[in-house]
Amino acid sequence: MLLAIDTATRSMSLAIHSGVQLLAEQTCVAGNQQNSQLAPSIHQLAARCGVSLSDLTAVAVCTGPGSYTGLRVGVALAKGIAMTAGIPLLPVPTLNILAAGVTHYKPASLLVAIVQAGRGRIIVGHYRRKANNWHIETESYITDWDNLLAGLEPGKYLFTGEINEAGEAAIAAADENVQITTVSVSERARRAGNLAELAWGALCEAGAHMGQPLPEDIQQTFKPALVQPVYLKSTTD
Amino acid sequence: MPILKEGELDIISHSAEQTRRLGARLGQLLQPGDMICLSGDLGAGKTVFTAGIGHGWGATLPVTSPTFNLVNQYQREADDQLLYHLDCYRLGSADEVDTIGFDDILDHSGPVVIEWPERIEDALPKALLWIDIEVIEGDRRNFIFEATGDHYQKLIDAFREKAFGF
Amino acid sequence: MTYILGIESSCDETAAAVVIDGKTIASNIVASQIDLHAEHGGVFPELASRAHVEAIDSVVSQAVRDAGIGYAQLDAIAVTQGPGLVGSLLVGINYAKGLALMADKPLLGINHLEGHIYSLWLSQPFKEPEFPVLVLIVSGGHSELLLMTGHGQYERLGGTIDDAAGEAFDKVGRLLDLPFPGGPHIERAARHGNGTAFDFPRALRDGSYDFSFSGLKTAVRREVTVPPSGSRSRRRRGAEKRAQLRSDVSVNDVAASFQEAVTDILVEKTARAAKEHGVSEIFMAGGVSANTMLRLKMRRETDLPVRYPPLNLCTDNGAMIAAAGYFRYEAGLRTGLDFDVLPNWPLSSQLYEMS
Repeated sequence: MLLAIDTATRSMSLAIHSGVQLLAEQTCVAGNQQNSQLAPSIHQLAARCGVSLSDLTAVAVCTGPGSYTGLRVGVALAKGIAMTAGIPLLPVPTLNILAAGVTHYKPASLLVAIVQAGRGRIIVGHYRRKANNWHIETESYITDWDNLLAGLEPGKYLFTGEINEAGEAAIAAADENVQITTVSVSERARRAGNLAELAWGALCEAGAHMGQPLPEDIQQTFKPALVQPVYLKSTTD
Repeated sequence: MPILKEGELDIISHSAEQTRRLGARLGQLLQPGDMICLSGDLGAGKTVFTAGIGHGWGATLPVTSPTFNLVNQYQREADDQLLYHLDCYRLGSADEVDTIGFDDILDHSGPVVIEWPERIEDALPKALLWIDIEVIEGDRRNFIFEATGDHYQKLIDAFREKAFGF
Repeated sequence: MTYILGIESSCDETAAAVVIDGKTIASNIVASQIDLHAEHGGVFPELASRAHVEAIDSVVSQAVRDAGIGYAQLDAIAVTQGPGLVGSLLVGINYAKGLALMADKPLLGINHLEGHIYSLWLSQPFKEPEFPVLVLIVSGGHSELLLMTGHGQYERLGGTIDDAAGEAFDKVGRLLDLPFPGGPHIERAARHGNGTAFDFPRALRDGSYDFSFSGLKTAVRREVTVPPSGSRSRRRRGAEKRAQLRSDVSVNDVAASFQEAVTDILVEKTARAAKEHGVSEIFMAGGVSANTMLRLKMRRETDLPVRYPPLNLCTDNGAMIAAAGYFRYEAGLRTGLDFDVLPNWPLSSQLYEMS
């Protein structure tokens, strides 16, 4: 049983995943209510799907980049749960969760995932589809809309994530050789169900088997104390 | 009190008490969303001036130093507005305004007074009132008001009218 | 026996402790960030918040382990809810919420200032005080004079109207080019200085119980810094103006004279309030209560017993939060999972009622 927590931006998304089934998921814009809403929401969500928190075998958390405050709320609470229960805590980057949410795609397209970084800046990751999964092409980076679009080679692109008005305008004004499709609004939302699935994938890759206790070395690999928020901001930092 | 040019105002305060009174005059004029930046060294009188602003604005509690918490907020009887008082000395860069919930503070639309604004200059809106406080000697201080944008130009005009009657 | 876990992260210490029955420290772990902040000359909140996230899990688990118990044996989790730095407080609060969710234990949001008061319940041997007692809390962010009439019962008599006492130490330390934090460094320099070399002002010698340290700071500035050059510089936006320390100034003398002034202000009002309110004892708490001269003068100025915490409990720690939590727990109080951070939470007259 895995609990997934994402409070990296102003949204708050939670999921409980049994490994074979997504038992519960909720996503909402919580703004500055994250701190007061997160713990009660976990409590209620577990109760609603009849899961006892003592049944958890792992916790996954979105580690950023994102809002400093949101990241601290989510990571601190996830650590509190995982540390107390003595179970692994899996870190998952924000942009990977966005990419995992995109299911309608053309194989030729490069996927561009975007998170707002404040004051007109954005954090961007480029993903390519290989073997039924999105794989990041380069390290994510910080830029702005104009520079992002100016830097794209001619081709077909899918854009997902936090596309605000400035983004829409920049996309509309893009060079005609750069063909951009923005994914639907619901696919752009960061959903903890996807976060949970990425985390299960990581556990299985590390040697976990469904329905069996986690091997000791997995516990060590995903020790809660090793998880830290990723505070990626400008390259001048 | 030489008038430097449109959008600027140059005042000498001769005592902490006068600094406080000047602050009170400004505080009476503040509208929701107004941003006042106070630049000056330790002991220049930034908090004394802000204590005056709080008094003029109608804060129910006296304004004290924001250094420890970085953000203090005040209420008043007249309405449910909040006055924010920030000390940015210990913010390393504009990116760190997230630490103090700067966006939320701007969203709340109360007046905002910022000490050590040069630390977060990249995060500040274009239009604001920048006040430079320089120590002349003893308790004398030179206040230089600089308005950016029409709204703050009008604020300086109203302040001049209120404080000096012209 | 009642086991309370206390978690404190309001400023620059990540701390956790287990306290038994509000008095006996079973474990007390403090991960100080002082070196990190000394490097920068002050507590930088973003750095502090990040350091809390890094330290919190090992600090809390070590506190529980050192107490020789498991999470199941805890009766409640007490955590600092405010006042303090939002980003720092959030780390302790959310970690505590996660722990409380998982271990299914009650939560208690604690006022940091009340925690400082209850650091006095942790000194050994402990004698139950006879209320009312007078409490002086002096730290980096606070200078409060309170009348404590019972557990959780406080009447605020006065407090600073501008800078906190510890803040004055830090800012004067900055003017004197002394390392951060100012308190211990000024105290050290003062030992070699003449406390009567400068006659710094003792502000607010009035009937009130309020303190003011801003004028004192400005007076020190006037004595120790080079006056700015004749021409008034223009076009200053973005450029910071920092005063230069005069080369002929005796840092030790200034430190000693400044310390004399601060302690005079604190002691005079505390002693007068104690007399007026007929208290049985004077309690001092908070980082500045570690100052030797303050302790000495307070004892000299009054016939009443003066209590202060052991040095390791003057600064922020989890044990004081656990101790304060114990009395709330006993009073039947619980805090819901949805409680929010209170960065400007004053120590109000009645935080809770004893049942």
